[in-house]
Amino acid sequence: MTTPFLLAEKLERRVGNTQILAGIDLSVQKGEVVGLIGPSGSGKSSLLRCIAGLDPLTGGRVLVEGRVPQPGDGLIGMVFQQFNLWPHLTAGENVALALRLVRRMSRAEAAERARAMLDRVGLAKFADRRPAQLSGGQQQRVAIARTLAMEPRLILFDEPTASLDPELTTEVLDVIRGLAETGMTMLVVSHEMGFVASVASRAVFLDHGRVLVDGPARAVFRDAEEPRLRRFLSTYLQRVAWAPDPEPPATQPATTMSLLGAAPAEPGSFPLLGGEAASPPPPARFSLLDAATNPPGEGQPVTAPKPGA
Amino acid sequence: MTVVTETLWAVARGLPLTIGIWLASVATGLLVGVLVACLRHFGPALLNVLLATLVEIVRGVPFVVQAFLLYYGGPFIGLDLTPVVAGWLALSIYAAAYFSEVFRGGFLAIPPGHVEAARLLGLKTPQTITRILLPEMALSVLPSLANLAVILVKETAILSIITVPELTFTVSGVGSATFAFAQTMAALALSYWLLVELTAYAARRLERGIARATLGTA
Repeated sequence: MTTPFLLAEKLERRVGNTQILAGIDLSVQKGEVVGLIGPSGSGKSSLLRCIAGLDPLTGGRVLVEGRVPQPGDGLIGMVFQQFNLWPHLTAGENVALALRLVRRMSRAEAAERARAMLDRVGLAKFADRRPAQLSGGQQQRVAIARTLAMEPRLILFDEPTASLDPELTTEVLDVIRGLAETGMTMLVVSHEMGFVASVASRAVFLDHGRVLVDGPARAVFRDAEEPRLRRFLSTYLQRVAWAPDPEPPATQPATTMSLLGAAPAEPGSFPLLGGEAASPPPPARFSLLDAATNPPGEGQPVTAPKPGA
Repeated sequence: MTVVTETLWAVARGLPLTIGIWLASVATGLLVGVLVACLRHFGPALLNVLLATLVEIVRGVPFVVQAFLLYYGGPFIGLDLTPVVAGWLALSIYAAAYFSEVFRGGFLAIPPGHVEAARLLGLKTPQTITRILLPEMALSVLPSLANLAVILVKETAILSIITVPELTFTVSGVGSATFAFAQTMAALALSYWLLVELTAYAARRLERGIARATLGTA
């Protein structure tokens, strides 16, 4: 086996009497997209912050391409839940600042590259707007452009859509999905299970600072056997089950509940993975949450007629 | 000469020095204040403790006493200053202590993520301070800074006690000579009040300018 691109060995972080990370081992190959899921306080964000070097470790080590990453060495880029754009600079200046100060580009050169990066996230027209004049989703896309401009080898996403409404979430996830397709190595902490299931090649489930499940995303979601993971996913599915029914279905609740009950789940019963199942997907009762008719990221309104559906 | 012309003449003589010492002290105080705040916020913990103690001492002693100590006590430690230099230095130290606290508050008010983002992108701490933190906090610290500047205008009056020939010194001299205390003090009060109003006006203009530059709004 080749040496992993990112290697995290026995990561430990303790603050006072609280064990935040309790010995986490993680190795990521180049081009992998790893989704980190788990309840709040499980250590997902802490793991990212320790890998980035923003929080100190109390044990273990992180290697990226065999090197110990330091904040600002250009190896790792990070996208935050709160965007963290600098409010006094325009979108273009936010992207260009590090290019000028760190890459020593001329003002014109940096501005041109900033524009190209904003174009990549679909915001070329908004270069002269200040963060306050942009929607949350646009701000997060600017933050992604700012990170991309420095050409990091690894990008960490710390709940990038947690403070966005569903529509804005979609536009941000589309950008991340596009990045995944370019072969960028990424770690994504997210509560968007559908997104993790469809974009991540691997899913890691954390609880109490430990890795409980680590495997191919599809397997982790479909054949969740670990009891804590099942409990975690079931609360999510319950929310899906509460969605209003456009037509009275006879078997729908039973199908959805089967994952929660003792009976082993059929592959097709997971609404977010329905598209990948061999059996034809059940009729969309809530198309926004149904990956078969509307993969996360497309952002079709519920009432929009699907072509060919 | 009548009391009125004599008073006006005294104002004309004293005002330039008052304004000069005040502006110089505000400038020095701002510079040192920013520096102290940066060192306390980003420097080693020990330095923070040391600077915090100094700030506490300066804030804990009345300005009259500080001015006296510096001017009359200075020669004992080889610091033989002219009244004007002693006055400028004393007021600058006094201003720096208060300004540093305003800037420290500004640093604390900025979300840590803004600094973390800069750090991960490779910006050095001085670059982060000058390019991101100071411009970002400029608008929110300005009212407090202007407030202090206004207070400092009036503190310059205390320098008359260490024989700095500023406004209070020249005008109260007229009062002592002519016994027209009420008239001269009224003229003095009016002069300081006008100076403060002018400062407040300048601060409002500056506020609009900073808002335009940092928020893109009028």
